Amino acid sequence: MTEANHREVDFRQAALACLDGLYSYAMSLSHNQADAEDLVQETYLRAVRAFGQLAPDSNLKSWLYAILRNVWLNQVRHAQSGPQFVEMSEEQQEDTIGQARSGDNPYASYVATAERDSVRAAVQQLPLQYREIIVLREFEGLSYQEIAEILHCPAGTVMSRLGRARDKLRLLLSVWNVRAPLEARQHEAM
Amino acid sequence: MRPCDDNRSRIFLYLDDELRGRELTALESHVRSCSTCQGAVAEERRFLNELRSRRPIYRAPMGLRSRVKGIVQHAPVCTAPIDLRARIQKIIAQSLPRARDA
Repeated sequence: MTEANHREVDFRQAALACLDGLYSYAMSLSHNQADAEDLVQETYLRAVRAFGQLAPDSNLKSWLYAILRNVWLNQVRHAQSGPQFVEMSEEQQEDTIGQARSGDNPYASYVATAERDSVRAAVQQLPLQYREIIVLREFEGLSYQEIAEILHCPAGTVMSRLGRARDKLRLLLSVWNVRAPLEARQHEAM
Repeated sequence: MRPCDDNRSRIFLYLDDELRGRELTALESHVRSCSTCQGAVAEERRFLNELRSRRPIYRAPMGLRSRVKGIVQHAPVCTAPIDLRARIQKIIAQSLPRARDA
């Protein structure tokens, strides 16, 4: 196998591994499942076409996130109307995390799902600038420098924005953390 | 528990693994001796771990997963420019006159 073939195989594996993270980021940008899916799909199409331009030692993960953000920005600029939040269909809900398998503790699964839902809801309530930085840092583990390159801003801006985003998220979660255990107890009592 | 005013942002940098060298040593040394900042570090670490334990907050739907797999596994990946660069570099290296022949 040539070096180029090795690179291609490595790229395919590494790119697929980023799928959930890219989808999470797309959801944080678009608030809309259909738009998020289109964003992710378009990102991969562009990545496959542009892979040859990527230097061998480049950060593939950051590159993919940057492509996705650029695709989203182009779509926003050309959009006639803003995105609208769409409820997930039943089929899509089956794909979500935390579904109890047979033999699992259904109450524990319910609590885990409720807690993840509360985090998700709190994140979605953040203003866009805070939302995307929280997703990139807390859920995708990108460094300040990597985030700065994706957002085209200084690393210092990432740091200060992240601090404000965490404060805001903590406040939102303090509301959800009161509500979620109450709902879980109600469910257990049923 | 509020940390010393100077250290709040550094605590975030520390927990994000963004501190290096002297700044890192200085903060670690301060935290060892300051119970307020120790408490702040513990609290922030707990909050961030709690948050990060919920990832991924979304899982790509099955339909999207299949489509992306199709794109990544079957679409031709364009590597020509890298191969071309390597070939051109080789041609240039072979074509350049050696110093002793100049």
